[in-house]
Amino acid sequence: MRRTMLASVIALGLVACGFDGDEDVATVGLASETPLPKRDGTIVIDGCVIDTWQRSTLSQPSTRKMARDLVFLCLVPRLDGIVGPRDPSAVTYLRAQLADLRREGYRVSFGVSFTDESGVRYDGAQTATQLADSRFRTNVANGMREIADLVDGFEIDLLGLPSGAARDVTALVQEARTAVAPKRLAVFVPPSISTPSDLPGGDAFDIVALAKLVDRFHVSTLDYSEPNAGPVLDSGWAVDAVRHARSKAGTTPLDISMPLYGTDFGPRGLRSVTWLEATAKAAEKQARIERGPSGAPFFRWLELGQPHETWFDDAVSTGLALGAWNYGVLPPDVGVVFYGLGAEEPALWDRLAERTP
Amino acid sequence: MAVSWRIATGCLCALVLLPGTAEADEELNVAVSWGLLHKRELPALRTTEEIETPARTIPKEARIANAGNVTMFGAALDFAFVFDDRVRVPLLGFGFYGAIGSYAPTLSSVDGSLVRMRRSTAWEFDFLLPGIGVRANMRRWMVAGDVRFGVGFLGQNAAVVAGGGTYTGETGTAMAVSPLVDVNLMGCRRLDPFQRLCLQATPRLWDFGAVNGFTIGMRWELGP
Repeated sequence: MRRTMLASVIALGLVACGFDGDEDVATVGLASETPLPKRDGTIVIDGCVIDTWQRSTLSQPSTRKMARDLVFLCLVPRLDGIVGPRDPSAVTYLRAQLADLRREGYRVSFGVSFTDESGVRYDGAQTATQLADSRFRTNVANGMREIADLVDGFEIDLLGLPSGAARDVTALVQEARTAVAPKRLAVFVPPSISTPSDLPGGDAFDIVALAKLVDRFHVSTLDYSEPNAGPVLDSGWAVDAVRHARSKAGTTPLDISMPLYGTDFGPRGLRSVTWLEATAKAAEKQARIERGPSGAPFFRWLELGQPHETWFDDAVSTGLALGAWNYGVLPPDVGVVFYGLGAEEPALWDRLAERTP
Repeated sequence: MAVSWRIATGCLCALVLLPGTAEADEELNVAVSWGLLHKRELPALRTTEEIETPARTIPKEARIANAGNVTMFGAALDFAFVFDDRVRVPLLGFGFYGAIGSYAPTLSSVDGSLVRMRRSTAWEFDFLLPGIGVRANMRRWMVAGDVRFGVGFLGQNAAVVAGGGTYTGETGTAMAVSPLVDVNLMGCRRLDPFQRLCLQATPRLWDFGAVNGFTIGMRWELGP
């Protein structure tokens, strides 16, 4: 009897080390029992025009459930501040496109972003020089006024500025506010988590002053890992950035940003990738797609012997971040900006909408 | 309902107060038990220390939601007084359990950061407090039951996700504490006048939640 007892104790003791199985159990995200928190959604589109696939995506009931606001990053001021579209045929085309989207129930805004002829975005030094010129600011504001009848609002996307440009940024927003009223006006702000800002140029936005002029802030909680390889978003860092902005914004609503695109980290630099590009490249290179700790998929591959590491998001990783941002973490009035329509997993909107009340 | 409560109370008093056939006697019993503990649902945990990550610092006592069940194996030591060979008064006791079996990792969050936890690392330390019960002997067999209280300390490894990595504090553990309310039921066979081997089953009326736990195992008791 005693030997049997001893043997059973030893046997059970040997097994008394638990080990992990394969599939995750979750308290957040698509796999959990908790629905995703419902938030006001905005989708950012790079450019003035959407293609047929993007148009189809916007027609889906699931997409309309997740977002009602669209931002076209369409307006690019020239050196003298003149903004388009100015070509009559372009205006006619855009008017028809935007009216079509409004019939689906969307509100549409134009975003003013600052690139140069090389296509390099956010040349902060050049933009700061332009902003310091009052005629430039006036021309930008006038250009916005001239096309205000096309849209429901405007967004100003001015990232990459030096910190000394804060006063000029506020002056531009002030002129824009006067020019486009009563249309909505919003500003993209960098994801600073401290004052002074932890980011280069993060102090170029006087959020306290801007809060009196704008209807909304979009906190650009994107590109967390750059320049090193890693996920585009860190959900905890994004919360801190929104809280920091909120501490200065008073009652002006804010959005947190969610990437729809991915990034390839290669020897020649970074490249944004879509979900379709990433999965196709992984298939071409027979690379195994793994999931990082945040649930973001990634894979490593070689091109002419040079290493690449590609990170992107899908419905699973997006659902995890959205689920982690419950109402106890971010109040219900914080919205979500989905950045980069057309780059997402095609099933994303359906899967998110299924889990959102 | 009021009448049946009075009858039950009267029976308990009679059991305790009526003199037995032998002299009134208090005897100390000591027991070692071992077996399985199953929890239907793991409780939310709290970080036991600050957790620093490249993205942010998670403070101490931050709440982490939890999910899933777990089965543990462990052992306990406890002491009891027996009065008149009928009334059992469990005194103090201690138990320790560790997870057994295969479990999927749990993905949770704390203050907006994702957290990875491993159910296979779950452990529990029980500090058992006094209770009250009865026992009855039938030749070489004995049956007993008691209700007792305690405090359970449950821990699990938790790692905060930041970027492409995970980060833990020095101990790497998040914990929860809960009162325990156990109903112990035992069927024993006497090996000699001072030793008994028992099969013990313990539904837990409160174990990090209502009716959330159950233990089953063997028990070796020493004492008259």
